[in-house]
Amino acid sequence: MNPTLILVLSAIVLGLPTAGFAVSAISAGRLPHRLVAWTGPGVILGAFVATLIIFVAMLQQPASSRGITVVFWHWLNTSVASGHGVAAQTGFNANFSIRIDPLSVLMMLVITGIGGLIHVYSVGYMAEDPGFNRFFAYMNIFITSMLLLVMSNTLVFLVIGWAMVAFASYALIAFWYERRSAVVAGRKAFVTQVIGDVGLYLGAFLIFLNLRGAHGQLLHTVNMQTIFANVGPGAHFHDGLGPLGGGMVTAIGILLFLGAAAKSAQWPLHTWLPDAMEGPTPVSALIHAATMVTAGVYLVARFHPIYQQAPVAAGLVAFIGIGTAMMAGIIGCTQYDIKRVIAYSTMSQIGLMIFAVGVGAYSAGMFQFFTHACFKALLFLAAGNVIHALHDDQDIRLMGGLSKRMKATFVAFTVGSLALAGIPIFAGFFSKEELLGSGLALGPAVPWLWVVGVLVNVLTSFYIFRVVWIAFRGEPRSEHAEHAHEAPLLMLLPVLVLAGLATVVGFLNVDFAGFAPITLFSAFLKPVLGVPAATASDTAGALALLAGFLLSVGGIVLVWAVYGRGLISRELVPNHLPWLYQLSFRKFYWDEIYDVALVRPTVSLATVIRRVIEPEVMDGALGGIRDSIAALADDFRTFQTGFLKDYATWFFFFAVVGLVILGLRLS
Amino acid sequence: MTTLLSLPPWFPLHFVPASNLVGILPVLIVGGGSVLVLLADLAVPRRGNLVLPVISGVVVLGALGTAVGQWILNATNPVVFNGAFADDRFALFADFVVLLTALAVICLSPGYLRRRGMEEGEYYILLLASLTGMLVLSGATNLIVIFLGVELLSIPLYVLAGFARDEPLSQEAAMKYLLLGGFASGFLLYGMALIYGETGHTGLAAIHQQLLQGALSHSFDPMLLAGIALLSVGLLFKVSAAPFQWWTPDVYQGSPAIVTTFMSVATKVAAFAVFLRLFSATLAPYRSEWEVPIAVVAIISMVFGNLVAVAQTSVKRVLAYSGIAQAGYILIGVAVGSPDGTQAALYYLAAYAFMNTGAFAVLTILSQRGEDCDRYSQLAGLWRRQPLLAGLMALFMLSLAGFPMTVGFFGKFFLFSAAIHDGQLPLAIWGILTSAVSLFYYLRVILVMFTAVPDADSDTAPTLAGLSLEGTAVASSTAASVGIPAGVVVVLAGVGTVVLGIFPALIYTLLQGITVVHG
Repeated sequence: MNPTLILVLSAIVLGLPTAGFAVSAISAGRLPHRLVAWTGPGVILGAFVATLIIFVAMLQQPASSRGITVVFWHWLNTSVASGHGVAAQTGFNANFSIRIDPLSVLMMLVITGIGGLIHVYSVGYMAEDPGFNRFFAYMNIFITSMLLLVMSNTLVFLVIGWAMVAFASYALIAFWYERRSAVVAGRKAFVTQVIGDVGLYLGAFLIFLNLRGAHGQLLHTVNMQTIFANVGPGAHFHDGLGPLGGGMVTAIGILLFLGAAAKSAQWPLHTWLPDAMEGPTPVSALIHAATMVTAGVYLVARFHPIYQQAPVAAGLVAFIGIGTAMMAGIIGCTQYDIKRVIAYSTMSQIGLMIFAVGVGAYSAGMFQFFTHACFKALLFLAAGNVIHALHDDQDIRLMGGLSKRMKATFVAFTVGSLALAGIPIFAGFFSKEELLGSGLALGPAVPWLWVVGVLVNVLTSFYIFRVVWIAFRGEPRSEHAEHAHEAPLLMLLPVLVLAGLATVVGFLNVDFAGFAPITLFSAFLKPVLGVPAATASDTAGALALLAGFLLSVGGIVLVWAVYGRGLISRELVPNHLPWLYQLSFRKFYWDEIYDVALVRPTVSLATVIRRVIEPEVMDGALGGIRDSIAALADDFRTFQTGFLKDYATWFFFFAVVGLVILGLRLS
Repeated sequence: MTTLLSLPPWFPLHFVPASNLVGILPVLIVGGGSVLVLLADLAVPRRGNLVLPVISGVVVLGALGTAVGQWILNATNPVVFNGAFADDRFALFADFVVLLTALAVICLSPGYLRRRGMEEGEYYILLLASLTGMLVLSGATNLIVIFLGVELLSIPLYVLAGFARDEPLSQEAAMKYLLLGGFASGFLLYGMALIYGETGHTGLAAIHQQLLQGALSHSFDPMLLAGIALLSVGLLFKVSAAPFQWWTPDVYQGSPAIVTTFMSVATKVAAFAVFLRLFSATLAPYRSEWEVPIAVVAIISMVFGNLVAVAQTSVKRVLAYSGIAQAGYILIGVAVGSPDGTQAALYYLAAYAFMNTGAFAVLTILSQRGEDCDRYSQLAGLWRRQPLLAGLMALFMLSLAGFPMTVGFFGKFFLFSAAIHDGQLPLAIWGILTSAVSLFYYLRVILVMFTAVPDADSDTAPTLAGLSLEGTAVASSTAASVGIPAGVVVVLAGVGTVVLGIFPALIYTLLQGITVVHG
């Protein structure tokens, strides 16, 4: 690929959303909404076009030469500042350089493509909101941050993008800042992100400190390509424990995953995601479908050379992923807020992706990310249409009968649900079966993690079709639902585009159980992610496929039996297994546990600090320093009398002192 | 010596080789320009026209263009006039900074002078004359030329300091500056005399050779050392390093703000140029002898400047003490002595030009008839009246304090990094500690601008023409327009402060090719 072309195009990709942010932010409500309605989505779609050109240019290259690193500028470089040959090796060089390869281009396509559709949708959704310009400023900076995160080739700018994403998500979740619950939700999300950030920082710093090169020398590099080249198998082994040392690489893997878990809402850092539904619905679509929550999957996939050296850390990742998938699936079955159900489904699906990248099925995990981005954005935007039509009612108990009043939205939501549930021909089917098939082949010796993964299927199709049934079928149960109208074209169009995508994108990779293989997707990612170490045998794969499919259909049948025909009482579980129902309804009590175990002790500690330590110790010490500086300053300024004779005297005095000292030294 | 036949026979300097004239072309342009302005001043009516500033601006632009051309075409010449002057990249870099500062000052001048009622033609003549001295100084490689440059730089400034003729503070400043400047020149000259007496040379290259021989035999000549010490005292006075800084606060405060702008940036750059040339090249053999004294002066300057600034109530005085502290930081680069140190010091000078010119430019824009904007109370609530100016001023303050993403951060970063690489950790530690103290007074300016309630009488502050944000300027009926040039200057300074904080390599790559020569 032509480096200059890539440089210009990637500058456009990063620059356009930034410019859009600047326009919307600086205007601060002064520009007419109509202008921002063009610039806001326009910059993202422009970035998408530039990404497409990069993608096409990349496809024209042989697979082996599709990765390119472009240096934009040297930002901080102590090896330049030192200039000595020796110091150049220990110097710290943080270029602003980006990596364009199949993995980052895939992420860029999804971020700008799906993100662009969501921006278009937002023009309709937010049309009446007084904070219209502010909203697009936040949305654009969010896209910029996310792009920086996936494009950066240095740990430094990865960390900067990572932190900017956290900030932008905070701003978007707390967008309706007059609503206390929104502000609290934003704060919760941000605090959780920062906990994850610390993990990422520490992991990155440990890599920087400890990575050794081929000759055992410390590299002290933040260049990610250099890191991966030196961490992989075949690199020089140091102390018999690999270039980083066995315990060290495990620690790094776990710390990096702490960052990934916060972004991707994995246990134990998952509680922010459902609360984040306080933001406007396009935000939910953007954050929970295309971008932020997938950053964790991207991080593990991008750092897979490290996880390949750290089986313990990778196993932990897989374990947490599948556990979160199961837990979120169970919770999703009892929630009544339409967006929260979808949020838990996101958590569950991301759990499956994390599981996949944990067991080493990187390509399968990324494929699930790709299809999920399409159908989950679809579900959120369709839900957004419903919420918009119902004047911000989100409780499915207040809906009903919408299939007649909002036909297109109903069809779109159903397509999204079918894709999510993994029903054949829809995208989710192919990606999920590939993912679970890889899980079966690559997982621990006993395939029980796979069993859990397949069981998640039944939960998935149950909870999403429960929403379809309660919200769209039956009779309207509220005034608003009675008078619901179909969404305007501007909001319907992105939904329909996404519905089309959710139907077809699965065919990019049909590669399981002896089917005629179409491997466009995995072949594209192969130069970065390699191939899985093992694949399931055809027989096992076919059985797995059948089991997964039957369980998905079983979930739908169950919904029909419970909510459609009433063959099974809705009160069955609440009455006979009240603890299970409560566990699910109360979201496994994590909020309560954290409240008792973390929040309250922290608040108490903070209160003590505020009442005792801050006024007595901190202010005392700081005040002391301040007072002594002020006193010193007052002492010194008395030299500056304003009298010329004093100045000349002092001048002469110090010159003489200098000469006297010189004389003493020489004698 | 190259050919001298290219000049026509009627040219009065036909005995001078053309390459020499090319070498001092920026000096000739600015010097000739000052004469041109002198003549033009006789021809044009006195008040309220822009002929003189336009001529001055064109002259400075011409000199700048020449310097840039010499840099790009690599038409440098380290030996001009038999080694009295060097037209090398080091000098050209210093010329860039000085000329850009002068251009900024010229753009700010008409509006300021009109508001303060000081529209006299002599102003531009003196400005260009002083600028000539600075350009001489940046390339001087002979003691005599150094002295010439110092005096040519200083004497017009003495007059300019007292340019507000009916303000006692300004007169006092001029008098103090003149007397103390003369006093310092005595030291400078005495030092030069001693050096000449011991070495028999005034050319820096020849002196360097003598020092080299002495250093090789480990016999340091005490008289020579005394000469170096006195010479240093004279130069330390010019860069306002403590303990020779006494004049600085009074003169900065008393002089008209526009003169302070020029004085605080351009003078410092030119004086540091000669300082760096002397110490990192000519006096390098005696480094073991001067390294510690310079480091001590650096520390005293950082401590004294930053501490006393805390106790000030006048913004101009705060910036004066800040200037003393900044001189201390730049002296770190001198004390380090390595090429890194020199490059870091040059980087800092460029950074200083952006942020300090910007800060003073805001003060000149806010200055009204009768008095300069100098008290904290005049800045109070600026954010409500002039959000753009307040934002830019906050940016300059943060940059002076060394915040990341501003040019000041990299200025300090390169200096401290050079000190650490050279094994002079204490210098870096003192620098960092005093930087922390400096936050006290830089942030106070920001605090006042963003929180305090404006004075009733400061509502008449002029708005930034075309740039003031809608609905924020109060009392617009009384607000006078500053004019586009001043607005452009302050905005460009802000842009430079940010852009160079993100792309430090823009300047640093320029500096990589610089080696200091001494004729």
